[in-house]
Amino acid sequence: MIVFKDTVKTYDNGTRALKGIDLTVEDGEFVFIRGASGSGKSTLIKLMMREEKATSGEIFINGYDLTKIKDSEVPYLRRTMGVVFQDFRLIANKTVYDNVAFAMRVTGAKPQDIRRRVPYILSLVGLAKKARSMPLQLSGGEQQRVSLARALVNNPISILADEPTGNVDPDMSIEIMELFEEINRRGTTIIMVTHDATLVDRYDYHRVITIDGGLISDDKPGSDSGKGGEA
Amino acid sequence: MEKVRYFLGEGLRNIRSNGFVSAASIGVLTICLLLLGSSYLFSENVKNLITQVESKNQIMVYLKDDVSDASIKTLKSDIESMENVKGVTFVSKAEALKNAEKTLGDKSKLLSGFESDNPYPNSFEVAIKDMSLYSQTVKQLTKLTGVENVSDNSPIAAKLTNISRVINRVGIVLFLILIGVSLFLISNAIKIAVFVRRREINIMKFVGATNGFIRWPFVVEGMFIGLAAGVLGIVLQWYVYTGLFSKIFTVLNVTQMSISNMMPYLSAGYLATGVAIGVLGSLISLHKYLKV
Repeated sequence: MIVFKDTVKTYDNGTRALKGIDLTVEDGEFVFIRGASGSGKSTLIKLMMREEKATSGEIFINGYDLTKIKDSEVPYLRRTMGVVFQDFRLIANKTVYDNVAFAMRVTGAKPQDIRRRVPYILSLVGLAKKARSMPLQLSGGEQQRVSLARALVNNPISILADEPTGNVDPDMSIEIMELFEEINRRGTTIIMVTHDATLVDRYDYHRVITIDGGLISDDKPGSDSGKGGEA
Repeated sequence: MEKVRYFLGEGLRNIRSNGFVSAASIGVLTICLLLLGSSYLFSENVKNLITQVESKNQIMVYLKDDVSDASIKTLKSDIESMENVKGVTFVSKAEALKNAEKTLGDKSKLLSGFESDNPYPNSFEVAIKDMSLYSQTVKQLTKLTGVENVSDNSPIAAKLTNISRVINRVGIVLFLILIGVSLFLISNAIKIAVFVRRREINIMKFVGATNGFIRWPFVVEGMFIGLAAGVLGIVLQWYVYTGLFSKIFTVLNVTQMSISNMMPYLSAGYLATGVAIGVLGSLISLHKYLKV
């Protein structure tokens, strides 16, 4: 569960990025966070990742109180939350398999667990056959699926996606979105941050939160069809 | 175990990926260790030399002719009870003459006729314990009643002690400067490694790698640099000692200590110092450039 309570973030240079955010996302939800650039959505992401600390107010993420968390606990918080970026952030000189395995290895996973889990996740995102390819040999859509596989491999409670379709062809972005839907159906919370109105409109059965000027200006609940309904 | 393998592998990869800076770091650290080792070996040799000289070192105390046998006995025990005195041997006039005859050998005839009027005085050979107290002891001996003269050949050992002190000081200063340079180079090597891998480090952070996990490969890199310099230093030290050093010692006509006895200590010192400096350099850099 992700909870923001009257969260304010003012940067050292005086920029007031967030002016009091109140927000609760339950486990298993699929939520869009919309906002133009400069609206404060990047700051929101940084606060969730605990790259930045809130100036005031409270944040709870997947059982961690971010106002009280010790630096040494931050890595464990991050393991509960997979992250997908617009620019994929893959390691160019590692294979697809190694890119995904890397995320497990750096959390100290056992080799036998890595060998079992990585192929499974790769097949889940439809890249079983590309395991030995290098990232730059893949299309944008495929690269984003690698990065999604990496976000999933440590079995997170939630996935935070920052403009995941921003660098992907429109056709491919539908595939990517379908993948997120599938992952959400399996119970993982999805928080997708985007400024892409078309994308949000197409999936408007999900909850859509709009940020503007550091405040939540709209919070449209999702319709039933989005949440594991039989339709 | 898996983690250790990972850290070692990544550490080695770091060294390879910026070979030139790593090589420079290893080089300077090697020179630094070589200097420390040479200075140690030199001072060990000087110490050895001093003990040799000291064991031979005697002060000759010549007595006036009018000193009675009884006074000689008291004088002897007086000298023996002095703090810096190891041993006292009495050499009588007759013995002194005999010794002189022996030394002169064929030319001992020159001394004929002296039997009735022996010009050699009674004397004590005084062996002393601590060369640094030499001149004090000489003064003390001179003050004793019945003492005519005390041989005052300025002691080689005292000079040696001085030389060794100066060399040690110069060595330490150079060593400190070079440690500074090595630390700078190593922390630079690590800084570059961090820069080269900033993408991976960023990824490691957001997938939840602990700070220790991110740092270890860089610490290992510093450790490897130190280890390489240590091994290289030991090998070079061997050649420097058995080559250059032995030439110098031969010119000075001084016996050189065998390096093989000192090798275990020396090697341990080299490796420990190398690794310590390597790790320290790496930590300095991580502290500055790897905020995790």
